[in-house]
Amino acid sequence: MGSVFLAVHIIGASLGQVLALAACVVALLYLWQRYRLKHKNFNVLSSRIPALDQLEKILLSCLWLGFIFISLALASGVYYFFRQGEYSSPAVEKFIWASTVWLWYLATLLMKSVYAQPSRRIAQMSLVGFVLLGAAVFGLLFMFIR
Amino acid sequence: MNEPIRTPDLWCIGTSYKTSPLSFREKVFVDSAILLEQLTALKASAALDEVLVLSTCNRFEIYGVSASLLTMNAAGLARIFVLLQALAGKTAEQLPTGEELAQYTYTRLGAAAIQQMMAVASSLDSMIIGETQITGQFKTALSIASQAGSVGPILARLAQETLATVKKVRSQTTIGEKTVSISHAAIELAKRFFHTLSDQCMVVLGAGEIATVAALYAVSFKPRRFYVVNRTLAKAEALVARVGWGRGLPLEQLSSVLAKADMVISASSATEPLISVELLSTVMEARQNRLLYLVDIAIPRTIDPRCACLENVYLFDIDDLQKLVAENRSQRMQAAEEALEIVQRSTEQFRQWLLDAPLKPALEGFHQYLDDLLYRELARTLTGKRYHDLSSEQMWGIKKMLEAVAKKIVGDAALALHEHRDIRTQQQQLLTALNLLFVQPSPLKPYSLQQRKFHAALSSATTSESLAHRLAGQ
Repeated sequence: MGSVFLAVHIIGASLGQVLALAACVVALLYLWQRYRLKHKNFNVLSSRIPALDQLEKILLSCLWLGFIFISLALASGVYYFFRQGEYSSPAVEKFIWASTVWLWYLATLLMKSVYAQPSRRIAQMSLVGFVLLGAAVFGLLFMFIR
Repeated sequence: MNEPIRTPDLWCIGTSYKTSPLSFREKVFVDSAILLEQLTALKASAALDEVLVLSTCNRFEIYGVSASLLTMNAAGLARIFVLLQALAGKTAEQLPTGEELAQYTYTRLGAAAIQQMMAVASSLDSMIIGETQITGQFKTALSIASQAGSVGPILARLAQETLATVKKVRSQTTIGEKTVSISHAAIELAKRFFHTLSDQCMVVLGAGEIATVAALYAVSFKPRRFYVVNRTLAKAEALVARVGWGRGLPLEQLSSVLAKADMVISASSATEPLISVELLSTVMEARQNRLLYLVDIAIPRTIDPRCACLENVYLFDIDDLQKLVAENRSQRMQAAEEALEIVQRSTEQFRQWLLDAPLKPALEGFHQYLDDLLYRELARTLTGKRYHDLSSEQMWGIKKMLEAVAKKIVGDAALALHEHRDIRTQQQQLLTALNLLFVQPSPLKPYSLQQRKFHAALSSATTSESLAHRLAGQ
């Protein structure tokens, strides 16, 4: 039973990270395209990348799906460590980091769906979220190796 | 029998916006409806083999193929130009004078005429390079000439090659990709904001001439909702009726329309701003900061420029669009250079075809002569007593060898003729000699029936002796 939760945790976390990376790339494209259009810079490259509304839709889809997988990974991870009776240092720190990332993505999605914040802000928050996620993954990896 | 072999002479005489004022183009303009009747008359009167006329508001060009060398100079072509005008029912006063013809018309002969047709149809010679209207006009001109029966094998082939070149130019270069009209640019720019324009709510402010152009183009994308907002409701409704889509609204409903809109094009003739930054701030709150694309092509501007600072509002004025159009225009110029290379390649290919056209019958006749000779001698040799014990394999081997020799001789003759293609008189002499010696009249009678019989007998014979028996039995 425990291995099932571990598998769900690993798969969920991997997919969540892939989608967070995708959201980061789309957010960068969105901010770049927005900047070009706001500054009336019509170069050939900006006509080749998707339209702003499409980038916005892709960004939100990545964020929602990524959030679902991260939630799944967090829940299954907590349950797995609880069953294993792991309350030692790396597991607790991992939980704190993962919860921070999860809360950040939740805040990002709430900013859009509840507070109707402009997409520029959502794109910026996605970038910060990805930095947090990267710090969590690499920081914890470093801790485990040490 | 001794009639000289002639390379078809292609020519063009015309006038365009580049060489003549509008008054002259108006003077020489001939309506397409009249052309249908006049082309046949022109062909007969001027002793032309083929003729095609391209008549648009920017150009009037006659393309022809003629037998008479007299037409192949500026004076001869000018006579044809005037003759067509006269046939179209123009009075002596309306006909272009000699001075006008010399000043405003141009002539193209041979390859230059081929290139002219290809460049014109590809829109490389148009006022707006890359526009597509000219290709349609060229197709109409071709259709009229075909109906009139004035197009023969050369112009038909040239027109076919021209349309293929147009296709290449359109697909291999970016000549037609970027718009160069302000109203169109406004809509084209919207594609950087909205993936599909058909899902959007579009609003046009104003009901004047520019608003009409913008509305007509906007409606061609079939937007989900379309509104025309104008101070005078009747004018807004008239524009909606004209474009056949959407709803006309009075100016009082502007704020409620802005709350729904995704894209607004202002072409209003109002003298004060219709969309202020205060109004738009309120609207954006109601829209929950949804993306709004605004284009102000009105002079004076009717959208407060400060609106551009609002979050998720993208405002462009006529200067911004001019910049976009100018960039597009320069990109088209670059593409036009690539297109010209395509046209030049196609011109050369067609020129080669044109030069080879008169050689083909002579070379075919010569090949036929050699084949006749070959089978006659082969049949005589193989059925002779000296070679009665040849196997089927050996007989086929000899036949193939002789066929290869005949092919090689014809190939060498073709090469010699090709090498002299630029020296007309020498090529003419060679062709005449070839015709006189081998083609007309053939010293041998047609041998096709015997050839067939020989082939049938050779296919079933196992030795040359049995071949002789079989041929004797036929």
